[in-house]
This record gives sequence, C-alpha cells and structure tokens, in this order.
Amino acid sequence: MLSEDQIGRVIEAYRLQMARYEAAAKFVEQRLRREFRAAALPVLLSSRAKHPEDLREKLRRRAIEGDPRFELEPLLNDVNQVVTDVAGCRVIVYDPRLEMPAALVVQRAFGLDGIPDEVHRKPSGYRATHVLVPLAQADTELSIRGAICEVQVTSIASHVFNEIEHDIRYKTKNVAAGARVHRTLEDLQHASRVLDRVVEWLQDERAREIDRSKKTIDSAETLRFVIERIFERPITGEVEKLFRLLQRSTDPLTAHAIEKLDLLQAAHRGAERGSSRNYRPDDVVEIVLGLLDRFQEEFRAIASSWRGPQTLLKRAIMESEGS
Amino acid sequence: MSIKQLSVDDLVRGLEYFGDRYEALDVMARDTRDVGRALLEQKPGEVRLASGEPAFVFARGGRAYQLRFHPSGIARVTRAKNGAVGVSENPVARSLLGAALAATVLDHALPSAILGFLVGGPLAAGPDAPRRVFTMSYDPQTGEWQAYDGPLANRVREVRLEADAALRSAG
Repeated sequence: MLSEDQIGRVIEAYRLQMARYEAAAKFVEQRLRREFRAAALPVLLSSRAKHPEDLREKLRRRAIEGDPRFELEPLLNDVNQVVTDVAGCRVIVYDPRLEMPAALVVQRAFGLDGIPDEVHRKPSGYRATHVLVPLAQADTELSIRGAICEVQVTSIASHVFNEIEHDIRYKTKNVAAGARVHRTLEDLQHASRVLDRVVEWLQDERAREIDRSKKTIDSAETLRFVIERIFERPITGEVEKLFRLLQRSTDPLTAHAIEKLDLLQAAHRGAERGSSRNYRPDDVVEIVLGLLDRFQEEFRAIASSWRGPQTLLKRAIMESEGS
Repeated sequence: MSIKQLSVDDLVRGLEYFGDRYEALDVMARDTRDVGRALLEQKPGEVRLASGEPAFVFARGGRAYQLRFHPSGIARVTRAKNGAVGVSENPVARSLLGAALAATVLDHALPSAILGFLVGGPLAAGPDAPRRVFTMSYDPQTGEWQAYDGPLANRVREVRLEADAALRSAG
C-alpha cells in the first residue's frame, strides 16, 4: 500500500509533467472539435490535466482499496499508464441517444477500431462512455506522443448528476454526506433521467415538425435530424460533407426531397458496395455510395475540390469510377 | 496569368459541363453586364432576338442556345428548342440586349466571382420532386468552370430562387 510519503513523491513527479498532459488533452479536444463539426453532431467539449490535489486524493483512495496496479514504481515510471485520466477530455451531448455515436466519432478520429465498450452504468448512477485515446500517431507532437487521454462522453443531464455526485462522494471536505443529501442526490438522479427523456421527446417532435414542413434544410444539423428520423437511429459519418453534396446537387433540399431520394435504400446499396471494398461501416459513406448511381460525376467534381486530409468519404467518392 | 473575360463559348461550355444532363445554366455575377458583354461582342448577325420570347439566340457547334436576363442579376442559358431561330435583325437585338442589361441591378451582395447554377430535370416522380442541380464557378485565370463548394453557395440559391419563377414562365 502506498504511503503518504510515496504519494507525495508521485505528485511531485506529476507536477513536472503536468504541462505534457495539458497539451495532450488540448490536442485531443481540438481534434475532436473538428471531427464533431464534420459529423454535424452538436456537443460541448472541454479538456484538462488532472489537478495534482485530485490525483493525490485518487491515489489515497486506491491505496486504501488496495488496488494492486497502484504501486510506487510504475507510478513514478509513467503515471499515465496507471492513471489513464490524468489527461482528460469531456464530450457532452444533448440527446442521450447520441452518446454512442459521439463515442464512435472519438474512436474514428484517432483511428481506433471497433465499438466503444467501456459503457458505464454504475450503481452510483454514473453514466458515461469512456474511450482511451493513445497519442501514438506520427502526426502528434513529440512532446505529447505516447500520452493517453481519457475521453468521457455523456449527456448533459447525466453530466450534472455525475459531477455533483462525484464531488459529494470524493471531495468530502471531512464531512460525510448525510441521509438528506443522499435522498436529494436520488432526486437529482431521477431528475436527470427525466431531463434525458424530455430532450429525446423534444428532438423527436422537432424532427417531426421539420418532416412536415416544406422548409429548406439549411444546415448539416437539420439534415442529421431528418435522416435520423428516416433511419430511426443515430447515424455515423461526415454529415457536414453529406449536406454539402446534397445541397450542391438537389433543389430544393427539404425533408420531402430527402424522402424522394430514398436514402434508406441508397444506404443498403452503398453498404454492399462499401463491404466489397472493405470500408468500415459508416452511414454517410454508405448513403453516398448508394447515391452515386445518380450523382457520380457531380459528387466526384465536388469532392475533388475538398481540401484537407483524405477522409474515407472522399476516398469512397474518388474511387467510385465505374461503380 | 491574364484575366479571361467570360465569352459565349464559356457560357456554352458551362451548360454542357455534364453533356445534356442539365437543361439550364443560371449565371450570377455582381455585374450582369459581364455576361451580356459576351453577347454584345459577337459578330454582326450572330445574336438574334428569339421568336416570341424576351430572349436572345446564338449558335455554337451547330446548336442553338438562348440567353435571358433577369433584373436580379441572373442570366439563364438554355438550349433553344427545335426551330427556335432568331427573327430580328442584329441591331435590334443589340439594342434590346442593351436595354435588358441596363435593367439589371448591380448587386454588391453578390460575389465578384462569376458563379453558375446548372438546373436539370426532376430526381423523382411527382410534381414537387426535387430537381438535379449543380453549383459551379468560373475561373477567370484559366477560363474554365469548376465545381463550387464555397460559402456563397447558399446566397447563390437565394438569389437564383427570386429569378427562377420569372425565367421559367418566360419559357
């Protein structure tokens, strides 16, 4: 078990490395800001390096729990390998159904395969999906290469509960929480679930309104709304680019027009084409691959004008000749 | 590299960018006279007034084309229907063209670049089906049209919408 003196040594060593973790967390936040804009997924983003005093508290708790990973040697060698959230980034979605799609955006932004599997639904009421991002890529600066950043994705309602519950549980200020505080915390947990549901209903009702109206779809976020209503689930991929492709090639671009284009059928066709080319599943790529029967030359002309790094979507369009 | 002024050949090349797939090219410029100048610079007899329409007819590559102007600053190029030949003498057409251009407004909200909006047929059955369109820009350096995916695309659609009904009803 770590002694108070040993914890002090770890904290002193950490203080010297804190700038590295601040830079790593900021790097992840900035990359995610771009990716979420491209996905037309509205989120709130923040990042931080763990405060040394918070780390001290965590080490004390783990020492008391007897966690075998929390030994002096590995903590002094590389604290980040043991405490994976010293660099942290938080992604807050409004609609709780977007927690998993947002976590997928995080995974893909950093080239991580698979589906996020660290989905927390703890007895304490804590709800979030965690993604560990190792900054091992060659395009990261040398000063942060090798760092790990923990990205926590949660809904705004859950965020309120998670934070307050965490502070009461772990930042005791030497005063244990009483029965009334515990009951009120239960009320807060209930209220946050109710808020989650209300946000879902509101988003659904708004989507229905847009469906019924003949108003032009004038943003990528509205397009996401409309497509998710048709697909009856959140969608993945570069919705912002899909919006640009459709807006440049379809007039008027309304919910009604989207129905006429039969994106669901297009996505089925596109999924077959995508899997034959070994593309990873991506709703936007599949929709676009399915629409190429109609818009191949147009989409190629538009995509060829896109600057920046080549994404899967651009690759799918540019490789589409003769599909 | 010198700046190339938009020519009648450029208008035709814009409309034919995807072959016959699109029916019309709406050209937008801050000063529509930039587009009209292309017609005015044609040789005598090359520009004629369309029969029964407020449009100008010219020929390129064995095909006849029509050009109409809308005061909002839109010029629409289409393929002339079979048998649509100009009827007026060139001087008359020229003076009417001059008048049409004079009626257009200099819209400073429009980009200084020349933008094009190709308009094609419906993408599905039914009266309210969306139409196939494509946004382009004219590069005065190279004299070529290219896909336009810039921030003015929304503005182009708004301006074009104002003129669309009038230009459609004119044929």
